[in-house]
Amino acid sequence: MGGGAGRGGRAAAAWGGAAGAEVLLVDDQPAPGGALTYARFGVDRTPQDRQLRALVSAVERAENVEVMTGAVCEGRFADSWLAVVSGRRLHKIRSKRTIVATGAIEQPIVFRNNDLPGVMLTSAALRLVRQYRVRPGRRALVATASRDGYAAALELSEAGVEVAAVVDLRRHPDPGGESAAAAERGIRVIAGHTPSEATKGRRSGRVRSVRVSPITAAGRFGKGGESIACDLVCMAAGYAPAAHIACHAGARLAYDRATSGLRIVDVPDGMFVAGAANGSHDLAAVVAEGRKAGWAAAISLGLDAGEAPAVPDERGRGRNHSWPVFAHPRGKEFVDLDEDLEIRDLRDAVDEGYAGAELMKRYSTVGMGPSQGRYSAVNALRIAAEATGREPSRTDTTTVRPPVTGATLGVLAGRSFEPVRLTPMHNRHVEAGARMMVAGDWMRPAFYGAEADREQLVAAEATHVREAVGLIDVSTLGGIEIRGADAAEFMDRMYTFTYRRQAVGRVRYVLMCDRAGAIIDDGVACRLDAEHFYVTATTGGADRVHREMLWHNAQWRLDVDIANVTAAWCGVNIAGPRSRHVLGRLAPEVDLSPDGFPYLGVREARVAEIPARLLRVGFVGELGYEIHVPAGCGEALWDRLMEAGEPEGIGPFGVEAQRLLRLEKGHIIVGQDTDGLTTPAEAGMEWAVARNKPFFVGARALKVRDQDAPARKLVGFVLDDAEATAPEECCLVIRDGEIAGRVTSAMRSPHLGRVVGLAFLPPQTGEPGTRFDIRRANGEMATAQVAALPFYDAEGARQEA
Amino acid sequence: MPDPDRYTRRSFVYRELAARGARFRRLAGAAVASDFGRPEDERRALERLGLCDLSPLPRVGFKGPAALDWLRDRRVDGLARDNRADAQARGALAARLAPTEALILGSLTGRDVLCARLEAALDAAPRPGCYKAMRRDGSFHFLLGGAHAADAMATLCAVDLRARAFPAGSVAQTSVARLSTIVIGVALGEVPAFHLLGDSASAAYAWGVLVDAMAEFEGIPVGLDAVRHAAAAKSG
Repeated sequence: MGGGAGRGGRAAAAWGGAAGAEVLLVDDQPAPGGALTYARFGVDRTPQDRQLRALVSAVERAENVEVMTGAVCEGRFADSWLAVVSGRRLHKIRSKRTIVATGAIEQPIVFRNNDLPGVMLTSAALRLVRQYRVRPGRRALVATASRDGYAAALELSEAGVEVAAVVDLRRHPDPGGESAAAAERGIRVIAGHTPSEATKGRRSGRVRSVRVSPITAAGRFGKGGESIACDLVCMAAGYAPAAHIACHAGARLAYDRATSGLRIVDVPDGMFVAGAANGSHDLAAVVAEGRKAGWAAAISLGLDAGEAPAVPDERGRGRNHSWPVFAHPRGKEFVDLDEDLEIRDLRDAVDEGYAGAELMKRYSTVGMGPSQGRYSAVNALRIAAEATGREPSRTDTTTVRPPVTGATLGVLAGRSFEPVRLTPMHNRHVEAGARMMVAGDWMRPAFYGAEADREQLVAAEATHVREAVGLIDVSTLGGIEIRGADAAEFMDRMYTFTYRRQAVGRVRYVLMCDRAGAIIDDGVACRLDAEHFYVTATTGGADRVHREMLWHNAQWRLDVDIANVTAAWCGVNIAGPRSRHVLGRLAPEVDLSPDGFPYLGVREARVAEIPARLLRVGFVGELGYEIHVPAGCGEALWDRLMEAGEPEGIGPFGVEAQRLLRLEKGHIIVGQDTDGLTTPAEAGMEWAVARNKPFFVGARALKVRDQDAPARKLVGFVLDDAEATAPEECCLVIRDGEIAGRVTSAMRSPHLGRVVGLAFLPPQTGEPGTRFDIRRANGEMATAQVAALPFYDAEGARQEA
Repeated sequence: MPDPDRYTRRSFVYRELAARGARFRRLAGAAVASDFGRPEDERRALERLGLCDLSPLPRVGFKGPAALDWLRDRRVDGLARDNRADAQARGALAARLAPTEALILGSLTGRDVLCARLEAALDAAPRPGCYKAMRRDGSFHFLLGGAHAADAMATLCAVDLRARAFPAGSVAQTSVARLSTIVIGVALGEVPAFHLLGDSASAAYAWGVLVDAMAEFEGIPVGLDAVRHAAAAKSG
């Protein structure tokens, strides 16, 4: 990628493109050409106009060069990530090679009242003339330290601006060339002088005249001189490289004594600096440097770019004045126009001990304004060097950070991409008036009806399941297929229970621990054949479980295929004492009798003509069936079940009712009733851990932790006050005035007529009947007692019916 | 005109299509949006930029260490290189995603039998090390086509999908609008296009994002008829 479509950038792009590189040329101006479009290089404009046309033509001819104008490369980040802003769009570009041909920034002269309107850089005046056809003033004084000021005077003169004088800060101007042409045009030249003070016109408010004084030493002027009437002061004291992108990549700026200016040094591999950014300014030299950079970039990419182009070395010669900073006894010589900083402000910073570049910047705010030091950094460095008695070349520079110009909040924010996962039945829930809730990446129905009636609606949905039949969408549960000769071995290693002897056609609970023995997920495993398990995972844990499985088997190398089929399968749970009747209408080929399809069985059959997997599980504690079908058929399954269940009064129930129903059964929710450290013993899940297995993930850690008694235990509780409302999850358990644990789940049970819940308590206080307090979120205390689990249908007769 | 929700199998975005005036017809056991009431406009639009839902059409995946050999044994062509898609007889497409995984897209006619034949073959005679992947249910399938397809994708995806970097037959498994997506470059006659397959649960999100991205280039949703017309121009 080439940064800058001026002379150097275009030459580099043309050469690189011709060698076969794919080139993107980025320029912040609306039209390419860089300084060629406004500045004047020499007495006659003809050569530069010819060169501009030639460069434009060369780039246009190159098929693999793309030009982006009006686009700013705002930053270069790790791995050559270039942020290019064009209008309201941020282009994220990665380049294999980057050519920085971003040009140079003209530098001002610091003198008293240099903040008056009418005082400007020569390049600014020429842009007004050449790009906008605006005459910047009537009578100009051009202060310069190089031939560029003379060329500008010629340009202004041709544009109808009277040039009162060219004030050359050098004692001996260049002979011939532009200075001779200026003299021929009758332009007066005052050498060895500097503007020392500008005066404001009372009516115009802009510069009215400039005091021109003889330079007596570096940064000092003497008596004498004269006052020259003018309404325009053009300054051309030299250049600083536009080094932002190079510096973002790790290059830095250093003061070069030979050229009296900053240079880009320590340029990293893969980046090339050319043209004015590299200190070259002559027409031929800049173009040659661009070609050389394009050649070098192409060569480094392994392309055939021909012989290396020759480059004349003119870098910076005679362009920069060594000390264009002239303190005035009455001050108001502004070094940083953004921040209103005069010479004495920076000297004061040094006197206060803030001599380093970074310290001076933070203390004085120099370089912190909108122009970010573009016009103040070099002169501030000189002032700091003088104040500390050091050479400018031994003075450090500040860090250059993105953005180069400034990005709008809209560009930084960008378009918002927030993927949302919806189940196939999503719209049916919405149509039924569901209040949707976020569950990981998914949306799930919390309950059906108005928010104001939430508690009653949840209770009614739960009661309907207990007494009749309800239908809940469980498509968000993770689904993972484990297939292959080692499927049972893999299951035994991943989960705490045993699966080797699990019969085909049976479902078994799964509990997964991490390597520290903490519970991370649960679900059920369906053995569909000897080498095929279909495993469910929690809504929020599916991706992690899949990832853990892949990670472990990358080491175990077992003969299994592990496929995350969460989106491919969807499911519902039809639950309640009448669920068998409803399902029977749609699955006539399945023997649904208690003996034909017992609790914890799994069948593959057709439901409403849809191929399905039926699981007899009891998360909500009632007779029920999870029906899993291909996702494309999910909505049809929902429709058919709702139609078939109409005689039984089937109704949908949401996540809130499901949480209540499972709480009555004492079933935990991983992530709500467990945390990142909870072990199976703490959660009362030891029954799901096969200690006699040779290995499972977390086994070793659990063995180590067995040496210490558990520090807490998850127990059931009921609130003493039958009328009390449920405390929120995570409310503290208080015993003897001390924090003894916390609530993990609590809801009012319509079946029991009081609040029931789960809480972590110290193990010794976990016996049923033990009393404790719960501090509610508002500080009030509620009394509770430990209760045996489950709260409902302790024998499991209903779910196993 | 068939109502999509009278079928057992439904597109993941049939509501979005219906809301835009889609006219459906039966294909491959589901309702497919054949057009949006302006077939001529859609044909022209697809030359510039159009988005078509192909989700109801057959597709299937096979994975496992023996999957590619098993497919070759069943006369599936190509599969020589990862991230390459090869045309099959009668308009189907086979993409090799990895040395152990391939994706088969049925033809635009919906009458292609390759997917069904392969599925039936594996069901009838399971082969150790070769497993079916339910791509028809696990993935949405959209087609984004037209001269500005790569421009629109550039606003959503970091991979360079311009024709010179991503010619027809190329496959990228990448992120599109933060969604893991398989992108397959194809040519519908003279019209460059991308098959896009991603998480079916995120189909509505992906459809919305693509429609939004197309707006800048005056792209519109088009029916299957417009896509078939462009594809037919190839043979014509």
